[in-house]
Amino acid sequence: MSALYLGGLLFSLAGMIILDWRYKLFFFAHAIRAAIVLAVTVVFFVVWDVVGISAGIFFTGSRQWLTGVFLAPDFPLEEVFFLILLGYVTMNTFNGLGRIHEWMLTRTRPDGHP
Amino acid sequence: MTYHELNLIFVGAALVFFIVAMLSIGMMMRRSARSRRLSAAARGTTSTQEAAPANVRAPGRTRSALLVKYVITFLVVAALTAIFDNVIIGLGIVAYHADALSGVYLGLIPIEDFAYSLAVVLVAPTLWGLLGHARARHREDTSQ
Repeated sequence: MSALYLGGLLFSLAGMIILDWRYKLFFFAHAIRAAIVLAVTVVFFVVWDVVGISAGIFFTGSRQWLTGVFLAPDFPLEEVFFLILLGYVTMNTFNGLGRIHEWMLTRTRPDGHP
Repeated sequence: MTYHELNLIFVGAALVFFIVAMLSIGMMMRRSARSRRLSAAARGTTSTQEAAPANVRAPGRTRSALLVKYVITFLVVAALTAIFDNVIIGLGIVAYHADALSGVYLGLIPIEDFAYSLAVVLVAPTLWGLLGHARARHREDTSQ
């Protein structure tokens, strides 16, 4: 048992929060809207995971890298943080692309700034 | 049940949500465009260009820009999944029953895992957009 996987997830999540804070992409753009999006996304994937686990499709292998905290059989605590990271990465990417697109439009607009 | 069958249920649900949300966003945008035209007509300005805010572009261009944003987001999430998944499968954190898999792999990753990348891109940005449009409409309705 170790906190290696959880630590890796939290480290990655910290990166997402820094990007969000720096460019106002998700929670730092609209906190309530972001909370709803992330909550719905996580719940949707938890259901998907639970159905997959109970159908015996995937399961927890080695517990060597896990904290050992399980929310359900074969559903480690780490999975929740993985799903939060998945949603956060997706939204930072999507809204980041929107920001890049806006920047390109103002740059190429003939009457705009150089 | 195979992993593909499991994914069919949830990617299907994500796709239905995506289509319904896009249709209702389209409806909200048409309604607010109509009410903008109506209030512009009431003020006596007939030029539609004057009535629309400067940041509103042609609907066709907005739609294709949105599609490009979705496609690139999927490619980024799928690429990150490819890296991340190889690590957690390599470390043995997650394992699969071989009977449930199609047998197509990308490195160590069963191809089925990419259904998560597809579904998250269909659900999260779409819900974000839907909430944004609903908020904008609510503000319009209350300001009139």
